[in-house]
Amino acid sequence: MTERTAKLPHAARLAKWLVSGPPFLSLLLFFVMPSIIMVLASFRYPGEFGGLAPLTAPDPGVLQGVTLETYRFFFSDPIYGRVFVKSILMALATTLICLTMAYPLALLIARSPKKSRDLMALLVILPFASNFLIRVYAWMIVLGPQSALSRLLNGFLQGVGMEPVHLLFSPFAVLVAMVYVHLPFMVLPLYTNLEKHDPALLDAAQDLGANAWQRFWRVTFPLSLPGIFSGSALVFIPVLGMFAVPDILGGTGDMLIGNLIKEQFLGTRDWPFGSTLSIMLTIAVLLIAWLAAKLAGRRGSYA
Amino acid sequence: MAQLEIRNVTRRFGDFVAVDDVSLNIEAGEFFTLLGPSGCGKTTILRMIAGFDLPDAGQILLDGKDLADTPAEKRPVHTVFQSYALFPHMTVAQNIAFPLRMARRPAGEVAGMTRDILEQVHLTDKAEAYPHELSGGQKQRVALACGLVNRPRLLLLDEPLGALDAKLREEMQIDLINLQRDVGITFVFVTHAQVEALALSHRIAVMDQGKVAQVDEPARLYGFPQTRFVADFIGHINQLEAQVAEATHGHLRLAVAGLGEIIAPSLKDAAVGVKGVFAIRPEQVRIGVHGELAELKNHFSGVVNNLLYRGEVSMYQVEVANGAMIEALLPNAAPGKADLFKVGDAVKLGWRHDAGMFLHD
Repeated sequence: MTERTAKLPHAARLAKWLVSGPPFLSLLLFFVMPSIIMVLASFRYPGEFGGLAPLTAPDPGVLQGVTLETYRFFFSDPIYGRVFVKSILMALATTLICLTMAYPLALLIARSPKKSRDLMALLVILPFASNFLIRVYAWMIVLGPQSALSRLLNGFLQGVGMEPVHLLFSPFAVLVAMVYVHLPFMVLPLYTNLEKHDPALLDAAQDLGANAWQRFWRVTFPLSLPGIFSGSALVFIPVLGMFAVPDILGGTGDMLIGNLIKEQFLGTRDWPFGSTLSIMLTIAVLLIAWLAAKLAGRRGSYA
Repeated sequence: MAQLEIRNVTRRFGDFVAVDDVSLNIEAGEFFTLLGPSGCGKTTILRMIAGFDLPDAGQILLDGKDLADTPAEKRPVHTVFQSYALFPHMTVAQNIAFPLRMARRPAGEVAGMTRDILEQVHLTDKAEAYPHELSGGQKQRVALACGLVNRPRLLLLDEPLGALDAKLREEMQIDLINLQRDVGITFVFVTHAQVEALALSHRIAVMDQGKVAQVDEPARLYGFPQTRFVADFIGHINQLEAQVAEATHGHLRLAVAGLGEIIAPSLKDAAVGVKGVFAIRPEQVRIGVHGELAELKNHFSGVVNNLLYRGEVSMYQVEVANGAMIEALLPNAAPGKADLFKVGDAVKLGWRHDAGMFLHD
């Protein structure tokens, strides 16, 4: 690679830097630098009114210097591990539900006549036209105790002699909104993948004796794995860090990692511990992404 | 009884009649070709045999049994697609094992049959490769192996050589002939390339606008086309508008406006006054200088208008008295000598009285 770069003429090398420079710079400024700041901050003490405690102070009574205290704290209380596990389970559930809902939809769009495909894909992303928070708040109305849905459900439960339920401010409400918000992120990569499948492959499979069920599981599904992986990443990772949805629709006990981190920075003003939680989240995401990539690499070696 | 019987099959797409009352009998072990220009209905027939499409009228019988209610996956008929249609996520061996696994053959048998067919198509060393790692010719052979491995009653081939370059195509033609002879499975081959059809087939059905124009062995199709369409579609042929002036027992005397008379082989239903064309292959037309061709019954003067040097042969295009162009093919057999005639040369054209044919309108 370096050899080839060296041989590029001057103008081509300049063009390469002009094209890749801005995104590279932006990643450096807005991802690498903050990450380094975060890592450094996690080894400090919190300041009295937020921020960080000084590295050195004349007064020995003031917290100062470098410490592993935040990490000790993280591992000493199992509640943080539990929030992590709960968040990962929530992200997994959201991803799986999105996948089962999005797959038939994406397949339907991909197998529709070319003319209607664009319109259907547009309809999938149409919700983005309205604000994210407004769409989440709308679920408060849909799931609220006075809503038609709640009354219908509770009326039915009463009829069969069961206790009424509260839909709003529950893990259920959080899950519903998470799925709702992230569904397009699953549909689009799946659709893009399924649309590229050569229809002759399905003809060939049928010709060679595969029934509809076998054609799906032996041809369509394995070929769509790259789409499943990218869609799952696009849903799983944002859900893992999401704090707005549990804030608005969750109960007091439905705190996820995102809420925990936000709380450290805006609530208790413990920047070092917030940084530690963020680092743990990043590590968890990287670990899961690595696992998924290994899995994808094994299944998708033909790509 | 023929192995595959196509009885009065018609298929319409809206107002367009893709296949129009076609009947064909294909014998067991035959290499049968459907030949015709694009849109003539040959691929539609193939899809109906495979089961991807159903006739609007008529029947398709395999070994005497109507296929109408048998879905594609249940028919003992496999197809080699033009695009090969190999599964990109499976290795060559897995691709070939696919039809065997669909047929629920035991694992040991699958492995053995896969190995055998791989050997037959000379791809044993590519068993673990993925399709994207193969060349066009190799993909083609994998597709053939997939179609043959489960020993179908019929193998359908949809322009399988269309995507290969000329040299490879010629090699594959010889491979195909050998393979078909070895496996003994009936091949139904679809192509628009008449050279391919002539080289490969036992019999050819020439199709035109949804109808079968002629079914014959390649040599008869080339030598004795029955319609102007077939004559024109199979190989090169010179055509002169003509009218029957005299029909005797042995021959026809044809009048060609502005040129004169031609003596041609007789034709059953050609009576005096019937109009049509006199058709003759370029290789049957001889070309010489003045006085050389006097022994031939048919000879005319002309001027060389164009010549095409093709290596083994040269094609001379000669303009005759009535303005028609007649092509004559001359082998370049004499060493180091081509261009026997030049553009603008006055030449004589001639052919035997029993060469060529009269095709009435």
